[in-house]
Amino acid sequence: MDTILRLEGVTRRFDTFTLQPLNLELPGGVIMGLIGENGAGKTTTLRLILGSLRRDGGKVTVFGKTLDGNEANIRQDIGVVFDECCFHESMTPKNLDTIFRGVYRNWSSDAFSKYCGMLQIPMKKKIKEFSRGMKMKLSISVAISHNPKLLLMDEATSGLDPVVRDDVLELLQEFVSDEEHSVLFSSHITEDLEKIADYVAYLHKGSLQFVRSKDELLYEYGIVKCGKNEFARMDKSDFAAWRENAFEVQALTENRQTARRKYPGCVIDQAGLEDIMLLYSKGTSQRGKER
Amino acid sequence: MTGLLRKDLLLLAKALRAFALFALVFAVLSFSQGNNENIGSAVGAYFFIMIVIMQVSTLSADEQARWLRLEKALPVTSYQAVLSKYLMSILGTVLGMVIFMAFCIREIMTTGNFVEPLGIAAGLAGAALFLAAVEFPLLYRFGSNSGRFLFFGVAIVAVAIVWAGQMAGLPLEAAISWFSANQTLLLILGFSIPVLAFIGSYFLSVSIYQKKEW
Repeated sequence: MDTILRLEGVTRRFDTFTLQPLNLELPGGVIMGLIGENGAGKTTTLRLILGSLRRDGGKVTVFGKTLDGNEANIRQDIGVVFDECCFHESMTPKNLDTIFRGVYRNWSSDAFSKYCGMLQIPMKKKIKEFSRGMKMKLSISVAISHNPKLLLMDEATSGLDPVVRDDVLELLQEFVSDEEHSVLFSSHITEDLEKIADYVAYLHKGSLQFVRSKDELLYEYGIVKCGKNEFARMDKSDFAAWRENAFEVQALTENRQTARRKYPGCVIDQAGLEDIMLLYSKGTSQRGKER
Repeated sequence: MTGLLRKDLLLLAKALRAFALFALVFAVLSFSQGNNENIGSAVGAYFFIMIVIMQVSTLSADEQARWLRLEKALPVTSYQAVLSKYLMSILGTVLGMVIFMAFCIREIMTTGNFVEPLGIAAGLAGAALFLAAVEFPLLYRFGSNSGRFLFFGVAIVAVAIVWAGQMAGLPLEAAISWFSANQTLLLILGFSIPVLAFIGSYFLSVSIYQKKEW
């Protein structure tokens, strides 16, 4: 699989937040979920990829071309969905078809009609009459109707009901099914990513904690549950992070099988993405300091 | 970039249709009222100003819809994005000139003089372009709400300076008379100042747009 997106040491400083030098690679034909709490740097990362935010350092390479000076050309093959609808409310989907025919070289009115049909979006209804779910489905239809190689989605499913979210996820799966398209999907709804992501990248306070395949995370990571005294006797280097509450300690292990062998008396559950995110963000790390 | 122009035309379509209807009604009225030859040009000037204001309002509509956030992710350069707005200004101005001249048909037919209304239309076009040249960088820099207030502030300051000049006894009327007597110079300045301001304003707006992180 060719790498279609590469970030090398990409950084950006704001007054109250800094995106630490970020290295990330996205292979072709995969869905990568970018998870992290609010303010972790997910949107900043996506905007740096698009070039709509200035970088303080590092390099962004998309489709083998560096971003600098090629932004407009590279964006011909990128689709973007934001967490809100950015279309004028007085317009109709039919109007958007007219507009985007003049924006993207590869815009396909047929594809747009097909996606709108699939998602039950009326072509002649004004956007102001659409529900949030319909607006989001429209945004996604617009974003993929020029057959982009890369789709960037920024919290596109937040605030949607489960039925609409499922429609969106189905559409995404169809979009990547030919293995020529890739999706970088920022979300804090880990359930969605567990359904569709191939890889998961976790950002915490502007710093990339890991990029792992989702299967690896779900099949290898585990939550070790035990009493405080028992945990005190355990080797802390076996755990990526842990949290204590009034009754027990929950510790995140990156190797569930090894932990089962080493600590047979403990309950060891499979770790979901949400558990992993919570323990990384709110727990204590191996270095013994609060994250 | 044609997509951006189409978007602005679609945004203005409803307003333009209403204006076209009103313009038609006023044109018929002004043509049928032989006793007042100036009604056509007065109403024409009004429509002219409205059309120029209308196309600037597309930027405010973009801001409201958060379109600019999406625009920064589209395959258009900053130069193209800003150019589309400036081209709309030129289109609006040309349309305004056409409407103004249409309203002056009766006057032209009665007097046989088309140079004077054309001169007025050109003057209005120059003024419209000059106003757009001042307004666009303010709108891009400060957003549509604050930008508009600042624009009116600039206009008030300009009027205040002229008024203060008159109060201070500067020979403004003599200067106007002198310019009126030197039509060629007036034409050159009347053409070059708005055009240069418009071009300079475009590059200033591009530089502001490039720095904006919507």
